[in-house]
Amino acid sequence: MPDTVIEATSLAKSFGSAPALDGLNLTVRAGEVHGFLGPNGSGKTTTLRILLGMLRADSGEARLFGSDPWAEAVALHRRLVYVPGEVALWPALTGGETLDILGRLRGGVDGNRRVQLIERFDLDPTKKVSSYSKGNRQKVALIAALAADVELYLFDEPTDGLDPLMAEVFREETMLLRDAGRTVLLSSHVLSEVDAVCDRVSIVRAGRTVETGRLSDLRHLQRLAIVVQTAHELHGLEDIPGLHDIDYDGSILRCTVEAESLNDLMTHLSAAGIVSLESRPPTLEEMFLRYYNRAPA
Amino acid sequence: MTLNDSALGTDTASTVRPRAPFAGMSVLIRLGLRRDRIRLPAWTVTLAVLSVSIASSWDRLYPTAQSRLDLAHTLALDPALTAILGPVFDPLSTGGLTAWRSVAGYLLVFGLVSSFVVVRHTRALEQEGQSEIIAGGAVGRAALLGAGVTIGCIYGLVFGVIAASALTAMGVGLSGALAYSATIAFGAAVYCGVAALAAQFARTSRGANGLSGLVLGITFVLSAYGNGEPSASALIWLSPFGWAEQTRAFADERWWLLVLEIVVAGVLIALAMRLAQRRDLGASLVSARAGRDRARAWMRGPIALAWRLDRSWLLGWVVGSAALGAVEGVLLASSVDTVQNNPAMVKLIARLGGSGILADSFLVVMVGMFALVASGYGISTVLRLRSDETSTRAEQLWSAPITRVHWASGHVSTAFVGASILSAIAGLALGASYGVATGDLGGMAVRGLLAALVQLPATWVLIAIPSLLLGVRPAWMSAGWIVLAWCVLVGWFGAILGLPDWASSTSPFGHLPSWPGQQMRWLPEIILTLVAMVGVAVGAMALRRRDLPS
Repeated sequence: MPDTVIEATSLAKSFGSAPALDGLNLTVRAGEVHGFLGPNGSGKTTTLRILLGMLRADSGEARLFGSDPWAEAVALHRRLVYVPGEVALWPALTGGETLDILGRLRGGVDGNRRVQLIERFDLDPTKKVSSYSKGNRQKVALIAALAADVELYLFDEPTDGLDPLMAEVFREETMLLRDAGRTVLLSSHVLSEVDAVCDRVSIVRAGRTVETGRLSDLRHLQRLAIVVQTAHELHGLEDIPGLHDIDYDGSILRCTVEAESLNDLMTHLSAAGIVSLESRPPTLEEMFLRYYNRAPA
Repeated sequence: MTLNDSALGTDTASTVRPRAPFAGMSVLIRLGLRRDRIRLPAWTVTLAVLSVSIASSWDRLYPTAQSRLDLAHTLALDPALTAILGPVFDPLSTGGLTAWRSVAGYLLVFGLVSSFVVVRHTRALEQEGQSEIIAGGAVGRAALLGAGVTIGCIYGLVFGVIAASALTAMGVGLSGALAYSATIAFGAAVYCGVAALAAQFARTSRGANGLSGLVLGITFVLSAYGNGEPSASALIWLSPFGWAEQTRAFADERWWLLVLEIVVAGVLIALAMRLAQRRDLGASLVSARAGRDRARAWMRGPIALAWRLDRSWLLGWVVGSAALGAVEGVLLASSVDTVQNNPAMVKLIARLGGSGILADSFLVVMVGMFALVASGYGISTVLRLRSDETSTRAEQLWSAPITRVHWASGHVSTAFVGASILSAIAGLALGASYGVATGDLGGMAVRGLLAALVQLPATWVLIAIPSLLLGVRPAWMSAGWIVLAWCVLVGWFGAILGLPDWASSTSPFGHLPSWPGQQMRWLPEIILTLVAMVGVAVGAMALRRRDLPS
């Protein structure tokens, strides 16, 4: 197996006059769970479709297992599975029939694995697809994918329609895939999900890769957003390293803080007497607003 | 598809009362008409123009009173033609001939079109999920169905208004023009009611379309049988086709039949409304049973999948056309019988080549009609590939280790094979039932089957059109329907409209030999088959090269 499973270089693609991709780079190494992070409409699905040989890039190069995904589509598809973001199935078939058909298209279904996954995802396979909710249709596609014994798993916003319990099951299954040495590309707009399972991430915005690397290296992504009110006025905020986006009106402080500086900030705050404190990780939208809007890669 | 914000705003503010069952309906009607802004004028204007063209053709075709009386006399002797078109009530007036020639055909078209429109605006929205966005607004429980039925009825009414004005302007007579247009529009409203009910019972839009098509077919056959077989003439009163014909537009109109149409339409719609308000959104009255938890062993690959998905749809079409074929066979026998009991006609027919010729030429006309029906089945089946692509179904198959051509070969093969089976079985049923009536079951069954096979290459060409477009320009695949409509127009109305000869040569059906009856010609058969094959092959090549439509 080559070290690099997916290698995309300066991909560009437009639909009519609207550019969908504009110099996208993506490298996914064998055996890693790679997060593909970006807001809606940033080009994640278009990238996946190019990697699957469904679309042809206008320029740039895409390689899957070292081959051209357009020319070698059938051979490459034997080695991967894909779950689209919006799962549409055949309303007249049952969930069980759908699982078997999708499985047989790639050579067969492992009966034990099928039973095990149906149980884990709590799916009734005898129901017609037309009576499934969006989440249940999503489960059918995910079970079909997870039951496949392949090298690469491509998921486009897989937990979108799932409840938190089922999203957790999916995360656990993804971890198991990694433990078994499989490669996973997980597209998402939910930072916490990517944070929980991914080794490395690529962040895209407006069809370009703006950041890529290990999550722990992307320190600024690990900042906490803080809103705090203190009894006494705060001084010397500028002296705390790793404190950003400071907005202080003499009573309420809004800022973001890097993990390393959290202790310093807290010491400082408690000296002034904390009245109330809120903290949360930044949302993806905030991240984009803060770091990428004014700084294109 | 933008809904005007201000339109929504004023409606919710001023006219919507909480819990009113029809709250929000006017907005939904406007939204629906906006969605149908092309197909509504296309259907209504085209068909209104066609009816005016038919009306203006009579003076050219049958200029004298005597020629019209002769026509009526001949028609009276032909139960098979009378079965399909209904009796002619006033052969002397232009209006009377127009009504005879077009009422049944128009009701067939508008019955089908408006019931599909109703389903498109009701069950289809529930199946795809848009109804949830709608029902989440300040919208009453009956508003969605009410809007769908209204839009369906608008098709017939718009046609009626245009046709009535145009015919009156031609000077055929106001009251006749009114009765003619109204009986078609109100008859179509009956089928809107049928579709509204079907949308409550079926879970999918395909199922609802199938159910209403079935009712349309049954009522058409009822009136055809009643018209053609005097001993069964009471049957026509069970069918909106009978009511529309018996309205006797331009021949001492029976206005009360219009009232009957409105009442029946109203009752069906009211029933559907009651059901719609009692059931859950998205649910159907036929509850979903638990199905198989494993797929059958033969279900592997896109071709098996396509057969699994298409088989019940195909079966419905086969049963429908076999039944129609069998009925027409019986009528054909009694038609030939009548002719043979009439010495004058026998002499006339003998001069033309004998009564066998009459049966044969009728056979060709009938299998030609079934071939058009089969083409419609084939086109609709190839179009399923388009809906696979516009949802993510195609993506899931494309990401499997199969080629795109393999994927497309699923529904393309069910289209070609299914349409051929459909045609063959209809021809076989037609020949067999004629054979039973004339005491030559085996011979006539084979003759009917062969006559149907002669038509196949033209059907294949029509199915090849959307198959070609699938590769070349998938967004235009529904153009297959336009070509089919054109073939129906030139094939069935070309002569009466006085279309030039080249018009009929634009239809693949215009090149087929009229066998049996005339000499068999193989060359057009071979050329049409080759054309179809090239179309499919070019489509397949283009499919391999293009992007997934976004």
